[in-house]
Amino acid sequence: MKKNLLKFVLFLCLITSVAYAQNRTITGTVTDRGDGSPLPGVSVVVKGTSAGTQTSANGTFSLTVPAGSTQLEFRFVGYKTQTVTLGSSGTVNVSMESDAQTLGEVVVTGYGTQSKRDVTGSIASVSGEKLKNQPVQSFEQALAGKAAGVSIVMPNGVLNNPPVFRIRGTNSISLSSYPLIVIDGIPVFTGDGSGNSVAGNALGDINPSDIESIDILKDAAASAIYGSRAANGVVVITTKKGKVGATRVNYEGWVGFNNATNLPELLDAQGYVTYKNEALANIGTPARFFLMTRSDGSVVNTDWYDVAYRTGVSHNHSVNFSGATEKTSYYVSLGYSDQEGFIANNSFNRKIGRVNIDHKLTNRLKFGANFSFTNTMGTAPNTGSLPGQAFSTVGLGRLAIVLPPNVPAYNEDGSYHTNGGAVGFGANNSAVASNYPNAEVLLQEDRNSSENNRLITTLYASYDILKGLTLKTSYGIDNMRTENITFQNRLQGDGFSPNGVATNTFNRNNRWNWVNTLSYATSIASSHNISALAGYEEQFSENSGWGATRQNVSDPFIEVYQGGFGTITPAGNGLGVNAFRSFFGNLSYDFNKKYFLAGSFRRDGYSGLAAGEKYGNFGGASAGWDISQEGFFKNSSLAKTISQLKLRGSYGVVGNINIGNFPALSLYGTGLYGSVPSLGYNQAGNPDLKWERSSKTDIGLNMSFLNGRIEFDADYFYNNIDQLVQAAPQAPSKGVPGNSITYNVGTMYNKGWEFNINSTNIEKGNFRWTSNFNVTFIKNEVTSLANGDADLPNASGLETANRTRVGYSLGQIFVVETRGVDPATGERIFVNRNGREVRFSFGRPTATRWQYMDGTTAPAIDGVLDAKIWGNSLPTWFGGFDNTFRYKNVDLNLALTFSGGNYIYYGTQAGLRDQRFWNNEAAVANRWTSPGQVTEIPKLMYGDNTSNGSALPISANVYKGDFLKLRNVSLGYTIPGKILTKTGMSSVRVYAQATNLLVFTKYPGADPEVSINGNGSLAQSVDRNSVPLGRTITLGLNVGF
Amino acid sequence: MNKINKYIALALAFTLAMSSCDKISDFGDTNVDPTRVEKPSTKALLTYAQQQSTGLFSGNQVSNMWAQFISEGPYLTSSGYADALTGTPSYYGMYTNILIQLENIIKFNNAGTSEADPGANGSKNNQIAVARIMKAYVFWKITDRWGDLPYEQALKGNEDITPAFQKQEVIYTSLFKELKEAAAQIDGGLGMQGDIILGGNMAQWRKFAATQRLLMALRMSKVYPNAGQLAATEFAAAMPDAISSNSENITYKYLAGDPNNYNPWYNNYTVSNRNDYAISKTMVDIMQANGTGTDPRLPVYAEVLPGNVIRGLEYGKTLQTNIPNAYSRIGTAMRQQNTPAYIFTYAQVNFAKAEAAKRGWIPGGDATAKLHYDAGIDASLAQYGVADANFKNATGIVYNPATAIQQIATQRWIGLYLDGWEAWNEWKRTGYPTLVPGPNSANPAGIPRRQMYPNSDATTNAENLAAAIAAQGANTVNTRTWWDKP
Repeated sequence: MKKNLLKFVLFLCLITSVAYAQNRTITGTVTDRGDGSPLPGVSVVVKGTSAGTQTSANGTFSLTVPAGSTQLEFRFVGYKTQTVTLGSSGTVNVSMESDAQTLGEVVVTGYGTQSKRDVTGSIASVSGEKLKNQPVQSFEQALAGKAAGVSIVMPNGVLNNPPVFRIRGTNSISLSSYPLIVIDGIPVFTGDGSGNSVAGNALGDINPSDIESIDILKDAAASAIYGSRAANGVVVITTKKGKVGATRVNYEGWVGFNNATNLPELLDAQGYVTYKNEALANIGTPARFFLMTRSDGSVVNTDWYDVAYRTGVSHNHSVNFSGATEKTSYYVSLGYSDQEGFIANNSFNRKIGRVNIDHKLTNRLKFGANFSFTNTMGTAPNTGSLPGQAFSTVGLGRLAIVLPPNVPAYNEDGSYHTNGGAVGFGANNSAVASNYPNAEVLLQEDRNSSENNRLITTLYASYDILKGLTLKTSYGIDNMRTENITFQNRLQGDGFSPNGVATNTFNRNNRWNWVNTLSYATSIASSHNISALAGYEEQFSENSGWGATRQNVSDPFIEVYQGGFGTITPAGNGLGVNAFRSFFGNLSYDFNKKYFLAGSFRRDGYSGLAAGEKYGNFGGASAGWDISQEGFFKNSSLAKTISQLKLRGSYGVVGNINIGNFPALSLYGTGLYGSVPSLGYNQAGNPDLKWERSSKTDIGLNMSFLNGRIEFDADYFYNNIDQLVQAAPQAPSKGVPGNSITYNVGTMYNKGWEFNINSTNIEKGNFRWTSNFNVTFIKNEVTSLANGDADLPNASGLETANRTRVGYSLGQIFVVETRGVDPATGERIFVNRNGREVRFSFGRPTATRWQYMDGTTAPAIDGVLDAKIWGNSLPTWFGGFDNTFRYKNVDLNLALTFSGGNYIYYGTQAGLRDQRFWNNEAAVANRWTSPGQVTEIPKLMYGDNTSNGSALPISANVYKGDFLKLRNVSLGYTIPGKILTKTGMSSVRVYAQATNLLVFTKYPGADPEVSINGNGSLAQSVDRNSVPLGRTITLGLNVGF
Repeated sequence: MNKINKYIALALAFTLAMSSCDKISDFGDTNVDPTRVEKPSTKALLTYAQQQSTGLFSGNQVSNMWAQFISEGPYLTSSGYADALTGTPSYYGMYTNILIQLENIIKFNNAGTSEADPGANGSKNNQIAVARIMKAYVFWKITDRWGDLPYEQALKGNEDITPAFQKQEVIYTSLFKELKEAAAQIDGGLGMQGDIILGGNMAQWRKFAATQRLLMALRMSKVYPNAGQLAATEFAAAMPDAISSNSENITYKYLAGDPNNYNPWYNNYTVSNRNDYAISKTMVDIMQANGTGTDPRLPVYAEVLPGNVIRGLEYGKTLQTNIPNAYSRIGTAMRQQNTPAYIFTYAQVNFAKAEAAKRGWIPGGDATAKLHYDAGIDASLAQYGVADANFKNATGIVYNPATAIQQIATQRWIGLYLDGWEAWNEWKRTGYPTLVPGPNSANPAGIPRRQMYPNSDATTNAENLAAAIAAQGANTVNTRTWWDKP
C-alpha cells in the first residue's frame, strides 16, 4: 500500500510538477577526463525528461531538477555518454571520457553520410584534428602517412607546391592522377594555378583549421557515385559547423622557423681553384682559375647557399567562433598565415574568412550556406624546381651549386659582380667565364608573384517531404582569380638578352555546380534498413587566361609591366569551357546490421566528347557481412576479445575524364602574316574518344578488439584501367599535328594490400599511448600501350631518365649502365647495348674518346640505344606510424612516414661532378689520380660533361629511394582547467613542434622525396637541380574560450 | 507555416523538373573552341603553309653549317654532325606544318566545300595549281635530303594507314609531271589568294614551276649525264618559262615590325641576342681567293670587324669559341627584320644554264656557258646590291673552259649563301667547292650525304621503313640517294 501510495504521489508530482514539485538545483562542472580541461556545450539532461541545459564556456552548469528525478545524463559529441545518479549533494562534477569510436563513427560519402559500421566500401577518414597546427600551406601536405593507400610526396621546399597526391597508386598515364577534391559538396579546382615561378596550389586557398573531416573514397563502391571523375579516388572535405551550446571561441597560432636540409657539401674557393686547374692540367692546358683577393687582402670565398637560402620565419593565426541553438548553427572563422620559405624571396600569405550557417526554418525545412573567401599571395624566385624548370639556367637550386665560389656576388664598390648576362669571372681567365647569372642579382632585381582571390561557396535547402524522404538542392560556386606578375631584370638572367621583361597574366576560373537529390531511408520491421538516393547534377566550368609580355625596358627604374617598354606580345592566353550533366543514385540495404548490400550508379555526360558519345554509365556494388552480429559469434568466447568482425567486398567501374575541353574536334590554329590571316592544322581530333575506365575490386576486413581499443582494417585492391587516353604516335608522314592522335588505347593495373591499425597501446593511470600504423603495398604494371606497345620515354627537361614499358611499372628509371671507374686509367666504364664495357676519356680526340677496355675505338655510347630499364620510379611500399603519448597534461606526438621499393635518378649529382666551369661537390677530392686507385669519381678532365652523367643519364647516379622519416614531433602542455577558471579561458595548450626533423636513408641527395616533375605520371623520382625540402621548428598556442 | 512548406516543396520540385530540360541538355555550344577554327579558308591554309616552308630555303642553321657557310662558336652542336647521327631533325614538320595544309587545299577544292570558296580564295584551278606546285617544291626539297620518302600514301591525316616509302626516282618523275600539269592547269580566273610569296601572280607560278623543273633536271646530271638523256630533255623543256631576270627572283619577304614574321637570323642575333654563329673561314677564304683579295658580296655576307677585317671562324672546331669582336658574324644586311630569303634566283638559273651548256645539254658550248656564267655572277652581285661588271673577269673568277664545272659550282655556292640545303645538295652533286669536315666531326665518313629517317618512323611505321632501308641502303647519313652517284 505504501508503495502504491508512493507511486501515486509520484505520478501526481509528475503531472503537476510545474505547480507542486519540490524542485532542487544541481550545479557542477564537466571536464575532460584526459586533460582535465572544462568542457563547454555539454548537454545535461534529466534522464527520462526533456528538461536540460548545457555547460557554459568554463564547463559549469546549473539545472533545476524535479524532485522525483534521480539521474542526470551528460551527452557530448566525441565523448561517451555518462549517466550520474543523483545523491543528496547539490553539486555534481563529471569528467567525461572521450570516445574514439564515436569520433570516427560517421563517414561522409559524398552525397550523404553513413555510419562507419555500415560502410561496405573502402573509405579512409582523417579527422581535422590531425591536420591542426601543422606548418603547411595546404591541408593535403599534412596527410602524408595518415591513411592507408594514400600517398603524399612533397617534391621540394617551394612554398605551396602541390604535393604528388595519389590514392591507390598512379591511375593514369597521360591524364591527371590527382584525386577529385570535393569541399562541402562542390568539386573544386586543384593543381598549380600559378602562371609563373610561384607555386600556387589551388588547395592552399583552404584553411586547414576549418576542416572538420576528410573522407577518402578509395574503392568503386565508395566513389562510383562520382562516376567519370572517380578513377583517382575522391577526397570529400567537410568544413566545421557550430555545435549546440554557448558560443565557443578558439584561437590557434604558431610561429615557425624554416631551414634547408641536407644540402650537398660543395667546394670552397680554394678547392674549386685546385680541382678545376687540375682538370685543366689533365687536358694539357695551363691554369685558368685563381683566387680573387679584395683590397683588404681577404680572399673571396662565396658560399652561394648563403645567397639562395635563409631561415624563413612564419606565423599563422586562426580564430573561430562557433555555436548553435536548436534552430541555427554557425561557424565563423578568420585565418591569417604569413609564411617565409627557406628559399630567399619565397613567401606565402593567406587571408581567409569563412562563415558556415545552418538554419531550421521549420521542422521540415532547412537552409544552409558555406561561404569562404580567400586571398592568397605567393612570391618565389625561379627555383628550378617546378615541373619543366630543372634545366633552367636561372633556377636558384641549380645556381646555388654551380656558381663559382671564388667570385663574389658584389664588387667592392657595391655593384653586382657580373660579366654581360652572366656572373663575373673574378680572377679567373675569361675563357672559363661562367655562363650562369649571378644569383644575388636575380634575387634582388627579379619579381615573381601570384595572387589568388577565391570564393568557394555552397547554398542549400532541404525539405523533409515525408518521414525519411528528403529533397535537397545545393548550388555551389568556385571562382578563382589569379594574377601573375613577373619581372625579369635587364642585368642578368632571362631578362638580359631582351633588356628587361615584364609579364602580367590573369586567369579566371569559374565553376558552378548544382545538385538536386531525393533521399529516402526507412526501416521495415525494424530489421530491414533501406536507404536510397537519386540525384541530378550539372556542372559548368570555364577558364579564361590572358596577358602580355613586355620587353626592352625604357629606364632602369622601371620594374613594372605598366612602365615603358619596347615591345609587347601576348602571353598566358587560353580559353576553354566544359560541362557535366549527370544522373545518379544509390541504394543500400542491411538486415539487422548483419548483412549489407549497396549499389550506386551514375550516368555522366561530358561536353568535351563528340555528339553521340557524350554519355557514359558508371557504377559499383558492394556487400558486407558483420559476423560479430551473428548469434553464434556473440555467444562464442571470441566475442569477449573481438568486438567487431566484418567482411566486405566491392566491384565497380569508374572513369577519368580529365581529357581537356575539346579533344574530339579537329581544329586549325590561327596566325598572321602582317595583316594576312593564316590557319594551320593544329589538332587532329578523335570523335570516338571516351573516358579512361577503371574497374576496381576491393576485398576488405574490419576487426576491432577489446571494445574498440584496437581496430584493424585490411584491404586487397585491384584497379584495372583500360581505355587509357593516350597521344598515340602516328607515322610522321601522315601529316598529323603533333605526330599523334588522342586515342583510348593501353591498359595497366594497380594492385596491392593496405593495412591499418588504430590502437590504444597503453592506458595506465595518467599515461596513455595511442597510435595509428598503416602500410600499403602496391604494384603497378603497364600491360599495353599505344602503337604496338611502343615504349613511352618521358623527358625531364633536357634529359630523359624515365621510360614506360609494357610489363613494368610506370616511368621506369632508364639509364646507361656504368661500372665505376677503371682503376688503371681513371676513366668511367660504360656498358654498351651488347653488354661490352667501354671507357670514356675527354682527353682523347673526339673520334677516339670511346674505347673498349682493350684500347680499340668503340662507337659512342648512345643515351637511348645503350640505356636500359634500371628500376621502379614508383615506390612499392609506403605508410605511416603516428604515435600520441599523453601523461597528465603533457602530450607528445611522433609521426613517422616511410616509403621505398623505388629508385631515384639523382641527376643533380651529374652537375655536382660536371667538369666544366661548374662548382663541384666536396667529394671530388676522391677523384682518381693514380693507377690502381679504386674510387667513384673519374680522373678530372676539364670540359668533360660525359663521365659523370651530364651528357647522358648513367646508373652511377641512380640510388635506392627507401627511407624512414621522422616527419613530425610535437610536445605540448595543456594548462589544467582549474588554473584557468578565473581567466575566462577554457583551454590552453602550448607546444613545440619539429617537422621533417630526420630522414633515415641511404639516398645521398637532399631528400628522397625530392622530385622535379610534379604530379606527372611518367617521370617520378627524378632529382635534378631542385631546391631541397625544409625543416621547420614551430612554437604554438591553442586557446579556447 | 505549412503553406510555406508546400510552396517551397513545389519550388524545389519545379527546379528539379526544369533542370532536366535546360539549355545544356546537349551541351549547346559548350564543345566549341572559341580560339581555334573548325572550317579554315584555303587562302589562310596557303599563307600558313608558305610561312612554315621558310626553313627549306632560309634561316636553317644545320644546313648552313653542312654547306660550311657558317661555323659554330660557343655551342658545338651541329658542325660535328653529332645531332644528325642521332636521327634529328625529323621530316615530321614538313608533312605536318606544310604539306598537309596544301593537301587540304586540294581536298577542299575537289570536294567543293565552303572552305575553298573560289570567290574568296581564287579559282578552283588556280588554287589547286598553286597547292600542287608548292607541294612539289616541298617534296623535292625533302627527297633531296632524305632520299626515298612516303609520297603518294602520305598526308592521309586521321586515316588508319602507315604510308609506304617510294623511291626518289619515282618521286622525281612524279614531280616533273605534277609541275607540268599544275602549270598547265592555271586559268584566267581569280589568282590564288593568301599567297604571300607571289601575291597570286599566276604567271609567276608558271615560272616557279619551270625553274624548279630546270634545277631538278640538273640535279639528275649523274644519273643521266649525256645530251639527249632524260635530264637534258627535261632541262631544255623547262628553260623557256624559267626566271629570266633578277626582277623575277622568287623571294620570301619577311616583315619589318611584325615579330612573328621577322627574318630568322634577326630573331637569332637580335631578338634572342645570341652570338652563336660566325661566317665560316671556308667561305671567307674562297671568296677572297681571287686577284682582288675580296668579293664585293663579302662585306654584305659578313660583319666587317674593327680595322676593316672580315674574319671567318674555322669550321667544325673542337673548342668552344666566343664570337663577338673576334670573328665576323653574319653581315648585318643579311639579318634585318625584313631581309628577304631567296627561293629561286636568276643567278641560279644562269649557273644552271652555264653548266648545261658546258655539259652539251643545250647548244652553244663554252661560249654559251661563259655567257650564262658571266650573267650569273652579274645577277648575283646585283641581287646583293653590289653590282660590279668587272668582278666576273677577276683572277680565278674569269671563265676558264678547263675548270668551268668547278667555277660554275663555286660561284653557285657563293650565290646560294644562307640557302644551305640547296648549296649542300649541289655540293653533293658536283663536289665543288672542296669541303672537308672539321676536326670535331663525329662522322668518320665525312660530310653527311643525307639525313637519317627519324626515330619515330621506327616505332610508328616500322615495316615500311624497313622496306625503304632495304631498297635505299642503311639508314645512315652516309648512304647516297638515287641521284647522288659517286
